[in-house]
Amino acid sequence: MKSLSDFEIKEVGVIREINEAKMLNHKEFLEGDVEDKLLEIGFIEGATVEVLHKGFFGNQPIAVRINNNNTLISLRRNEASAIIVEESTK
Amino acid sequence: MNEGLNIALVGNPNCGKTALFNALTGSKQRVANYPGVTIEKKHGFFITPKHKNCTLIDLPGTYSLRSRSPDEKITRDVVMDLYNEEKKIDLILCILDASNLQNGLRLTLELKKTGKPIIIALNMIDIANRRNYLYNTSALEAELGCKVVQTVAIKKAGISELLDSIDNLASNLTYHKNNWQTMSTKESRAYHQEVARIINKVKITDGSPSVITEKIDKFLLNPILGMMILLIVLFLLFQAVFSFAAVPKDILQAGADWLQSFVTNRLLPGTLLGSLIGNGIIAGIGAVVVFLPQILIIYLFIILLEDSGYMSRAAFLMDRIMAAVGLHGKAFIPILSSFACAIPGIMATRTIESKSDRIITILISPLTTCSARIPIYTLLISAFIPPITIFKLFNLQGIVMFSLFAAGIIFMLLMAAIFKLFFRKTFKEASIMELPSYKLPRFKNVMMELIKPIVSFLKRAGTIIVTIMIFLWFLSTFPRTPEHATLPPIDYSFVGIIGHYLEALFKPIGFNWQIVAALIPGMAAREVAVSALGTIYAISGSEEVVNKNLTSLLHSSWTMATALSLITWYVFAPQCISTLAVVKRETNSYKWPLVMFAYQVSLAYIMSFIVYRITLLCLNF
Repeated sequence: MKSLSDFEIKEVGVIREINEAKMLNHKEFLEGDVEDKLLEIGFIEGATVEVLHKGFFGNQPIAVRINNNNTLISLRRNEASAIIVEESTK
Repeated sequence: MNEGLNIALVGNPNCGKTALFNALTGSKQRVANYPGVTIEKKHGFFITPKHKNCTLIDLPGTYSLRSRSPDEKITRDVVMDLYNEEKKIDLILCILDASNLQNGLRLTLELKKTGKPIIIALNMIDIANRRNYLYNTSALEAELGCKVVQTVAIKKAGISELLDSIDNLASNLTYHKNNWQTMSTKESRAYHQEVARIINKVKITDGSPSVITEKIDKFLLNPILGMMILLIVLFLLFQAVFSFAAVPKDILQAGADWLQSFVTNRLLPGTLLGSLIGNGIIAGIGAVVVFLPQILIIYLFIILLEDSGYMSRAAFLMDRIMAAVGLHGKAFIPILSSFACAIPGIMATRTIESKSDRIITILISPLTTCSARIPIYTLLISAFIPPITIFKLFNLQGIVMFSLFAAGIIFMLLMAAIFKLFFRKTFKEASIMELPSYKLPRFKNVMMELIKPIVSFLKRAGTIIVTIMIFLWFLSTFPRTPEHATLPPIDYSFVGIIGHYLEALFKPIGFNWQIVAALIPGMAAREVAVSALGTIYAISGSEEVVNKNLTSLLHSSWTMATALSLITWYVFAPQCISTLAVVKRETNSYKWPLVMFAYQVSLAYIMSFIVYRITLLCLNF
């Protein structure tokens, strides 16, 4: 188990927990806001995720595919650290 | 005569909502603003086969009915009839991306809680079928308890079925009690579980994401290659804006010049009315309309980038750079547009969800070197900067021009970081966004989207700017020149009087009264300052002659320090009333245009002062 922010490109896993308290600076965000947004856009316990791209500066943001959907989701590493994922094979 | 139907169009971002809106309503659209907020209120009209008059209300793309962002709040309030400016909603048309059902269904479940009848448009069904995201539509209807119509809005497929189902539903509209509530994250998870259950039940095959998109993304989102491609795209954009637009721009300019001189010299020579129409109104509209080709090109680029799916990739690539000054990657797009003109740039900030980010982006956008600054930069650079070559490669004039662009960008980022400090108390916002699969933009849709900003631009030119131009004409024409006057007429006018009056204030930064006077008409549009200087120094003739004579005249009558100070002033100063007017409209308050004006004037004054003093020191050594 590790946070999605620590995933390498092409690494796959299953989401076990969405918990904004795992973010380093979660107090700077409105309580519940990040979790709500992650849930709304499809990050949910049990969903499979795969990291496909990372940005040039500081490996940020990251582009993630959820459940083999046709769209990618882009998020910053800080937000990704709220997503705890169990590594798995594709 | 039957009662009209009010239909709310709701859906996630990137699901083809605009295309469906256009397919249903065609050109019968009306765009206004919701009072008190900055969100566009878009209404369209259509008639069903059974002669029902329908009003379609396009609501901002959203993932939920939570009311945290202004977009979500409007959607929620309109859908639940809480918004008193809007008529009661009779039914909800919910649009889902067929190849990305999960988030759409989650929103549908929320919408169902409102108790309103719902019709579902399962959009982009062609892509979903191609990618094997297959669902049993009738099972989905049974699960959701509402009609599901397969559509390809961009190709107008499924529209007649959609109209028929509106007719069918309209004959039997039933409403339930609204029991929607703001949900906790726990309830949000429950919604997702319900969605997962439904999808499991109606799913026929597991789809696979677009292979082409994945292949293209290997290049376009590659950390190094992707950045280089983005730079090339930006270069092409600038090339298009500054060179392709040059010819139509010159033609429009020549047309406006001809019309102006025709009215003032031939049609109504020597009359006050001729001067008002020619020098006031035509010159004023002309000054704005000449930018139409550039605005057209930049909008065309933006719509193509948006429709193809590249824009969100650009935001992805730029996110880290924008984050350095506390902004979202999305702020990159408005800033890009501001290179043509700050007005479309400020209008493009609507895509930024966070209110503080949006305000900051609006505030910094006029620091981008817009195309209207180029005439005055060119004039002053050719008058004062010698065309010498440095290191056998770089032209000094070119270097100065480049530094002015660079100064704009650097200070834009700097000011963003400073403004961010003032918004420190507000909470940070997560910057999560979707990168949709690539699509080929459709010609008709692009044209429809292109017309809207152009119409609103021309409308503004016809109203606000004409009013301002008439006022400025009044200031520079009255009081009338006394007989046997020895000085140019402008000396005796209000502009001249104000110029003399304010001279003391601008003395510390090296401006003489002529410059101060030219700054006043220059408020209408920056490039007007060039012709105003011509008027003040009593040079008349065609634009070319004015430019040529001004160059030598300014060279002999101004010091280098004054010239550099004025150039600096133009980098920072709020020399454009239209921009301030748009900020007022977009933020719906006088506060932000005032803040913008105040910070730009202070910044311009301080920077000009520094440049003036340093140049004086250097020249004295």
